[in-house]
Parts: sequence; C-alpha cells; structure tokens
Amino acid sequence: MNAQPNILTVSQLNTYVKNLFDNNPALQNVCVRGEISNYKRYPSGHHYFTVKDADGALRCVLFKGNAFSLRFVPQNGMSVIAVGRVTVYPRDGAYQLYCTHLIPEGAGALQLAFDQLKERLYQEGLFDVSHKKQLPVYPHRIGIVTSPAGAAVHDMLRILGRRYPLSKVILLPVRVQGEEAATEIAGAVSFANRQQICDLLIVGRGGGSVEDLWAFNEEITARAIYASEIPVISAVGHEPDVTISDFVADLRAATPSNAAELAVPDQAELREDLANMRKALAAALQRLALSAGSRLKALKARPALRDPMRLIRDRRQTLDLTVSALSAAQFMQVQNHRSRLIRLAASLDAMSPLKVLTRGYATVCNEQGEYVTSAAQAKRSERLDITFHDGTVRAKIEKS
Amino acid sequence: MPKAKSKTFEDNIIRLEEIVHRLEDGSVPLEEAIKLFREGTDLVGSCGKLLDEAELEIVKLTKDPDGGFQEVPFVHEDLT
Repeated sequence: MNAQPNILTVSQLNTYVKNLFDNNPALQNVCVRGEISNYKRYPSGHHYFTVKDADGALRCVLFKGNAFSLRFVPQNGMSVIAVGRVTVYPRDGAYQLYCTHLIPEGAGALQLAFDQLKERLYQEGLFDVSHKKQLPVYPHRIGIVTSPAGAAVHDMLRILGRRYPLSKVILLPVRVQGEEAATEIAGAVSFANRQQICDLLIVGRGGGSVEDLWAFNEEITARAIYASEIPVISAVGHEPDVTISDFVADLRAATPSNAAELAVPDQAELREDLANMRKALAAALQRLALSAGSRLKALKARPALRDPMRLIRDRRQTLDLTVSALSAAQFMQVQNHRSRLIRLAASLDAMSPLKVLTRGYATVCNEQGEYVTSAAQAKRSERLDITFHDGTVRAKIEKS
Repeated sequence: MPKAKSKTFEDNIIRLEEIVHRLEDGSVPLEEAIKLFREGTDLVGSCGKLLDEAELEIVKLTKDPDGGFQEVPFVHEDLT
C-alpha cells in the first residue's frame, strides 16, 4: 500500500461527500420536523432558515421557485415539517436541506395561510363594513363568475329564472380550481368592472375540499373583489365553508343557490306587492271619494244650497219690513199734516166772518155777487142776496 | 338597445309607489286622483304582464381570437 497519503483539495472532498449524499436514496426525499429559527427571506426570493429541535439544528433553503407555492409566511418559532433532499453545499462544506415544501404542523398549511391572509387583509381594511356596497333591489344584469359546468351554475340559473326572470344573466366562465383559478376569477371580476357588463356580480362555485375552494382564499381574488365597483355576492361551497372572498364581498351567501335567492326579489312576493298596491290604490281612491262626498254633503247642508229660496224670502221680508216702516212713516207724516190742517182750519174758522153771522149779522151781495156794504149801493140793485149763518135768502128792493 | 325589462319593471314599481303614496296622502283633488288611480292600475297590470311573459335571458361571454369578448346564448341542459 502506498504510504503516501492521498491529499485532496477541499473542493474534491466536498464533492466526494456531496456525491455520497446525492447517491443515497434515503436523503433524496426526507421529511423533517422542527422549529424554524433564523428565518430570512432574501431579495432574490430565496428563503433561508434553520430547523431545530432541542438537541440539533439543520440548515434549510427554500428556493424562490418552490417558495411560490408557499401559502403562509414562515416565522421563527413556527413548528413545521420541511420536505426536500439533503445535500452538501460545497462552498461551505456544510450539508443542508433543500426544501421543496414547507408545511406548518398542527393547523395545516392551508388553515394557516387562510388565517394569515385574513388577518392581513382585515388589518388593511378590506373587510370594512363601510366599504360594503348596497345591492340593487332589481338587478337588471347579473354577472356570474363561475364554472359553466356543474351543479352550482345550474342551481343559480334555475333559482334566478324562477324568482326574477326579468334579469339578464351574463356568465363569465372561469376555472374555479387549480393553479390558474384565482387569476381567472380575479380577471373576470376586473373585466366585468372595466366593461360595465352588469350591475351585480355573483362569484363562486359549488362545494369541495378546502383545496378545491382555495382560489377563493387567494389574495388576488380578494383584491379583485375589493376593487369591484359592481356589488359582489360571494357564493362559495356549502354553508360551513368560509373563504376570504366571503369576507371581502359585499354580501356572503352560504351557497350558490342562496346567492341566487339573495340576488333578486321573488316574483311571488312581487305579485303580492302588486296586488297590495292595487288594493291600496282602490282604498285610497275610495277614501278620497268618500271625503269628497262628505264634503259635498256638508256643502249641500249649508242653508244657501239646502234652501236657496230662503235668501230671497229673507230679502223679501226685509223689503216688506222696510216698506211698511216706510209707509208708517208716511202715514205719520200725513197725520201730522192733517192735524195741523185741522188746527189751522179751526183758527181760520174762528176768524171767519160767517162765524159773526151767527151772532145776528148777515152779508149782502148784489146780482153780480159783489158784497154790498152801503145803502147807496143797495139802491142801485133790484135784488140782493142776504146770507145768514144758516143760508141765503133773496130780497127784492122796493123802489120808493 | 331596448330598455331592460327589469329596468321597466323597476321604473313602474317606483312610479306605482309614488302614486300610492300621493293617493294615500289625501291632498290630491278628486279629478287628479282618478287619473292617478287609472295610471296606477295600468302599472299594476303591466308589471304583472312583464312577470308573466318574462323568461330569464342567459348568455355566456366568450373570448374572441382578437382578444375581444362576445355574448353567446348559453343553453344549460335540463334547466327547469
């Protein structure tokens, strides 16, 4: 045997050891449990950390390409299962785990991712009630972002058609599971907004496993729903399934069918409303007619309309009264005149020469009716009329 | 584009509610009230007719090769 020791370079040794690791099938796919420490994410997108337990530590690296599938943010102290192959990093002469998957222990990766995203978006205000939009009462155009195949779309269309067939439904077909689903869903929501194709959006899918529903827990989906100017109803899975989309949406429906029920009014109720309004119209008109009728009745009861002649009668009576008052006044006046006349006549009478006649005097008139006041005058007449107080006698003058 | 049936329905309902409100308010002269009543009952009739004759219109958006979109009728099997 050659005593000369075989001197290797560091690189040669490291490569040799690396080959031992790489050729050992047991190291190609290991799952190791431990707690994360020294976690660091580099700007390159690669993640470096150590997984340790009470007695040891293992350096790990998660390259950007694999980190892409991470659905949570690794943190120090977090208990994880790291999956990958163990090999040597020749530059440092240290072996490490090249992680392909990192799974949080306990809660489950998806649950953790869900909780983390939910917390982050909540902090950011994406779930704020103040941001929630009012749904239209009568949606004219309903955009449905879902898979065109399957029971969910079928149920929704059936219920929409039964409840409110006046709407137009616009299907935006997307994949609802798999790698591309979230991007497609978010894209459809943004598209509907850009093109203003509808006044209400339903985004969802039927039931499935947590993984199946995952697209609705993705940040890109949540942000597209948040950014939507069109009100969004989230309709994912069955009743107990809750997704991030449900929190961001303006309204959460328990199921796609429930979303269809929440989206539109029910024509059975609308018809009932219409019947009630018809009744209300008739009742209101009747009330109006009744009140107009009673007003009319009240008017008719007024004296002017009830007995229009009364006005005339009243006036006539006034007239009569006035007239009689007037005639009374006239009568009085006549009376006054009359009594005055009597008085005057009496005084006149007192002065009358006829009155003297009663005391034995008489008046003498000739044939011409002239008073004869002297004997000479009397001698010139043949006859004279002598008037006493009670009559006149004719006397013949004797010529001597 | 003709006015959406749902839009017509909504407009009718809004007008109808206004009419009922005005009639119930009671300050409308009788002659106008009768006019409103006629209009209201006509609206009830046309709303009912809209519902009677309506059928859910369903279209699907498809991508054009040039990147645009178009609506195509969507027929879903046994949609009853």
